[in-house]
Amino acid sequence: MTILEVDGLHAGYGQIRVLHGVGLSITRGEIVGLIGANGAGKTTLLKTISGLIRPNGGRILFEGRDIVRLPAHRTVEMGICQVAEGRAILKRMTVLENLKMGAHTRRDAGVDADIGQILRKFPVLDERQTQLAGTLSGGEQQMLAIGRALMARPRLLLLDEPSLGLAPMIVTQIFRTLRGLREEGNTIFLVEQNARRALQLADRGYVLERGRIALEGSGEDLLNDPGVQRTYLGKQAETTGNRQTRLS
Amino acid sequence: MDSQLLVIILIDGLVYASYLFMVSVGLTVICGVQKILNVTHGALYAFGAYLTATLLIVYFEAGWPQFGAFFVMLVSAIFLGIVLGVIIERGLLKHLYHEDEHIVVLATFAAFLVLEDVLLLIWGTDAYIAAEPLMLLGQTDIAELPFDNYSLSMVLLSAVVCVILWYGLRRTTFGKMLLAVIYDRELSQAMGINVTKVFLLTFIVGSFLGALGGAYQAPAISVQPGIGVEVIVLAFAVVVIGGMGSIPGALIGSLVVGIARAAAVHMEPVLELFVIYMIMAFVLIVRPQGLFAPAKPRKI
Ligand SMILES: Nc1ncnc2c1ncn2[C@@H]1O[C@H](COP(=O)(O)OP(=O)(O)OP(=O)(O)O)[C@@H](O)[C@H]1O
Ligand SMILES: [Mg+2]
Repeated sequence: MTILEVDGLHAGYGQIRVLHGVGLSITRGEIVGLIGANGAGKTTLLKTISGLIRPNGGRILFEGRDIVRLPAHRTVEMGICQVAEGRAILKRMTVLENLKMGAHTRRDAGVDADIGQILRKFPVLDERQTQLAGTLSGGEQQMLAIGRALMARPRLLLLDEPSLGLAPMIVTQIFRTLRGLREEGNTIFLVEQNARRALQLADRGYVLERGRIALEGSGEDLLNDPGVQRTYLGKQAETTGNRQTRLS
Repeated sequence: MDSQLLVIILIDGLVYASYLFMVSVGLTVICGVQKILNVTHGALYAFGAYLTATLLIVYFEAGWPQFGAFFVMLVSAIFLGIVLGVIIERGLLKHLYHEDEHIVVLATFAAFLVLEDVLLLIWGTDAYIAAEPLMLLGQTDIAELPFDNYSLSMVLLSAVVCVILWYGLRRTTFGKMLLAVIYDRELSQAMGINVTKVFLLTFIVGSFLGALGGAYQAPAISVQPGIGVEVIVLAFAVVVIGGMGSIPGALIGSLVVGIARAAAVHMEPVLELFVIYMIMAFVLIVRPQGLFAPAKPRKI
């Protein structure tokens, strides 16, 4: 069942146009990966979906409802939760305060139970409940950012480069966490520079090039696509990609 | 320096610091959350003083219970905070949040000038004196020197305001949301905080504090044209010294300026204003972000 459907989305910043008619769809319970070079518009796409940027045109349907005009706080209420690029946490608040802030839209009684659950999921956070978030290591901060987003009980989780700037071992841990989240039934839209890992994990994937969807397919198909291999998986180009190469 | 002089400097300084804190804390809260320098704050102070003075004159002529005067001040400030706060934020600032900071300062300055004229239209150029509350509280001798209890109560009021703000920010959900917006506006939005609402509420609270400063000061001064300008300049100095957007900064900035000014007044009166700007210049040179600068304001 489709949870998110994006159609002909145009967005940008003032005079700068970044997205030129992006279309994609996400089904409940899957992880969808989005890869693309620096500046392709991945972050812009996530921000437009979550309502931080108002698009110039196009449709965004979430669970069948048009959310294209909704501001961010309304989309969060509806169940879309974004973990922004970098460490999306309140550095000057404690781990526990961050988790509580994540649930501030909720009025139900299950918040404390959910905090307990998140702390069990991320034992490193459990040991550091009263520590200021800014003093955590990069990996711990990313876990906290994800944990904080989960506190809102999102129906769709948008992750912007959760592996950015982390050591390979920590990246492995983060991807293991994401796999676990899918097993619990979460739906995840994952933006990644680390194309190989993302496509290995994702059920399906999209390739964004200069604000347009250039390619889509199952994670495996994309991994085997010669264009993707050359541009996003190539040894020399590493994971950042080479914008000169056209995908077909 | 004899001990009497020391006492008088400390107490006068503390009283003046309390007054400065009352007029600058609202300014700094608005500055921290909304990242704007709000010149209309001076007008809120002036409106608070004028409205309270007028109401107090009526109130005491009517012969109602004397201590109700303090209630009149509070109600005036709440009324002005809500009415002017909503008008200024919804009518003007709302449209300027994505504009350059300089444009916003100019716009609030323009609004300040307009509000000053509105003041003149309503109250004219006469001075209003409503000193009954000041008389009511009498005096206390400290180290054989008489001090107005009303002035001393200013210290109590700003301490109460300080504690309430601290508690409100650190211990309530709305306070934490406000802190989150101060630290990182875009992240707060992404976390589902309704920043538009937070901005409006912050502006109302900040405006209320500005009006309360004027309302409480009204019985102690002659309420006349120009008090708004005087206050906004002093409040800016305090906020710059303490660090824009920082409440502890406003507290320390007020204390430093208050004590320094009292020392100047009692030892070398010509330096009264000079010391304030000397401290400001000194702080700007050694620590341009202010003594207690919070996280750097981010532009989105
Ligand atoms: N706030 C902004 N104002 C103006 N232009 C912006 C802004 N943010 C991004 N851009 C521009 O929009 C384009 C797309 O940026 P975006 O951040 O969406 O790319 P991205 O795919 O997320 O890149 P990266 O992999 O580096 O994170 C870039 O050309 C960028 O310069
Ligand atoms: Mg990005």
